[in-house]
Amino acid sequence: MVTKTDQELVDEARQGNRRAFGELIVRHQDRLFRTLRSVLGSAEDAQDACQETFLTAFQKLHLFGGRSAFYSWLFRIGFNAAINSRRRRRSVASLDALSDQSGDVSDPAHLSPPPESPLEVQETQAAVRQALDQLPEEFRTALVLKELEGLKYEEIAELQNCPIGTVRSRIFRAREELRQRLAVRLQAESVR
Amino acid sequence: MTPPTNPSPHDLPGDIAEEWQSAWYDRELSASESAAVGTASLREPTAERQQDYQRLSQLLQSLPFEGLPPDFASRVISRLPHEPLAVPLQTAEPKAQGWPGLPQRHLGWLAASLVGLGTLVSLWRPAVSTNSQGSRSLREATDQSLEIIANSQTPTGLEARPSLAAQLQEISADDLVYVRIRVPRGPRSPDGIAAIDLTEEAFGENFITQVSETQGAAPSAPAPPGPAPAGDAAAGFGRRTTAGPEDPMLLLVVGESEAIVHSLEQLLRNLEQTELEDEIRAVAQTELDELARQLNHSLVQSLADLEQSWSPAPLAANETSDRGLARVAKQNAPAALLPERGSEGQLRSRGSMAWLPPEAPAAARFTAGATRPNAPTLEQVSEPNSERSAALPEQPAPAQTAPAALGRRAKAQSKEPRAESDPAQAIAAPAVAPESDTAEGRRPRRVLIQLIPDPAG
Repeated sequence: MVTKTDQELVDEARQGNRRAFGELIVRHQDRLFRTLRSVLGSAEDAQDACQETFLTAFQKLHLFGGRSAFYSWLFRIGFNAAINSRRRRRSVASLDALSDQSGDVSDPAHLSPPPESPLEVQETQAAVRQALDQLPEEFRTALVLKELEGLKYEEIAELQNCPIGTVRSRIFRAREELRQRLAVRLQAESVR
Repeated sequence: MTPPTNPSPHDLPGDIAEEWQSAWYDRELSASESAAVGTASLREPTAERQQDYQRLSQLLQSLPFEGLPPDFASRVISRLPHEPLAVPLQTAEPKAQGWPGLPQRHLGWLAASLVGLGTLVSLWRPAVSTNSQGSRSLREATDQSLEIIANSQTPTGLEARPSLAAQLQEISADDLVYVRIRVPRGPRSPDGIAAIDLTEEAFGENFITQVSETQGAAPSAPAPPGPAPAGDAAAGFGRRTTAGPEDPMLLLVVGESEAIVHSLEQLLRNLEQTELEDEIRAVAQTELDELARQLNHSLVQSLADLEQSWSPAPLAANETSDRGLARVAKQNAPAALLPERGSEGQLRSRGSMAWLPPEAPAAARFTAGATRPNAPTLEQVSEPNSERSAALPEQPAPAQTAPAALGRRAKAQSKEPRAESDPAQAIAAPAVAPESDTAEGRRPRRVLIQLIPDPAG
């Protein structure tokens, strides 16, 4: 069975083939969801944003010119949907508040012992997830776009509508926050 | 921030030097920056930081994610719009005269408007038009209407909008064409402003003669001069122009059919694309610039033809030169059609376009035009306070404004080069000049364009 390219599926979807569009959804939904989940910090919000993304993409399929990869085009829609979703939520954690929480003894990243078993690997992943979700949104978004989507600083700056220097600063600060929060885990990882 | 010539992380403020470490890990530093940080990374603290970054990347990229529900794709598919993805070309054919075939919603719209529009057919997407003979009871307003939805919910390709030119061809150039363009949001919203800008750009800013700064339904301009519109008809037309909940805008364009169609199609394309501005901005700008140039060029030619064709008085037999014909035409033609000198006036020789306030019954503005359906003048849309309207002439004498003859003369002169070299022949020939699509497309016509917010947008 020959796998159709994204462009071929787009062409078929434009002609009314919903199955082709469904194939595009299946093909890209997990990657998109993963990134939006990290950007939004909520699986439920990410799922809603994913759904909105694909509906919007279907409506605007005629605008896809093929100059970029379909996923890149889709991701832009998804990122905008996530930003809109975030604006609706308006639950932005300030950096100061985050700093206050950095010494929280209940933080599992500080309490958990170095991972040595699959269960502890899961605990580490949960700690990383929690630490990531607690980052300020702008920092988290920039870091996720870099680490999960592999975007260049310039592309991130365009998406976040800020200078490249700001992106550089955000990613750095996100990493430093994670380093502090996950210091124990990182040391354990280095030992293993 | 401009890095120093030979930067070293240790020469920089602490935060910036540390930021360099992060950017260096991402390979996002310039060559000189990378060299400096790379050297510094040999130092123990910096190397430790780089290792931490690497571990963080591994942890982040290996994070498991709860997946989407298995039926996610099918749920999305079930929520897709049910409208066809592509409008079959044959469905864009203009409906023939007659009411029975109209959808109920259009019948309701027509009834509410109380105008005797003959037929209104509105299809989903810009490939929509209607064409039929309008009610004669609405003598002064027009009789043809197009409805264009610029923000369709279906991703129909632009190529599936073939009917605009064809539909306009179906409509007599003598009739005013009323085009409604639905924009996703109100004309005063950010997108709406973009829509207005695009409209002005598509038709050429130089052709804007007046822009109404209306807000909502609040009147911004005095009632238009001229005879009062026919009651029901004017009211119906007026309602349509003020039907938009936010701030509908009206734009009157007088020019060649081809140029108007071209501009309209370009405008629609750009309206549809405004929501992905970063995808299309560069392309749209280029196309609009080219369009504006083409439109300017075509309208200059058209108006030049018009100036000559509008010499209403019978030309003297001894007027045999082009210069003489032009002089006579200029003396007899309405002042509004004569090319003005200077930067401000140059647009007047090319065509005309005017934004109209929504509260002003558009039908009233076309009262005069109805009796002279071929007259592509501006007096129908002139505002009382407008300097331009003040300069417009009174209605020409009947003997000078026989519209059919003038229209034929204009077509003949634009089609036949010989006519220009022989004024006498140019006057005689038009009566028998054959109609053609080209000539029809170059005939001046009046198109009333309205931007209205689409509630669904």
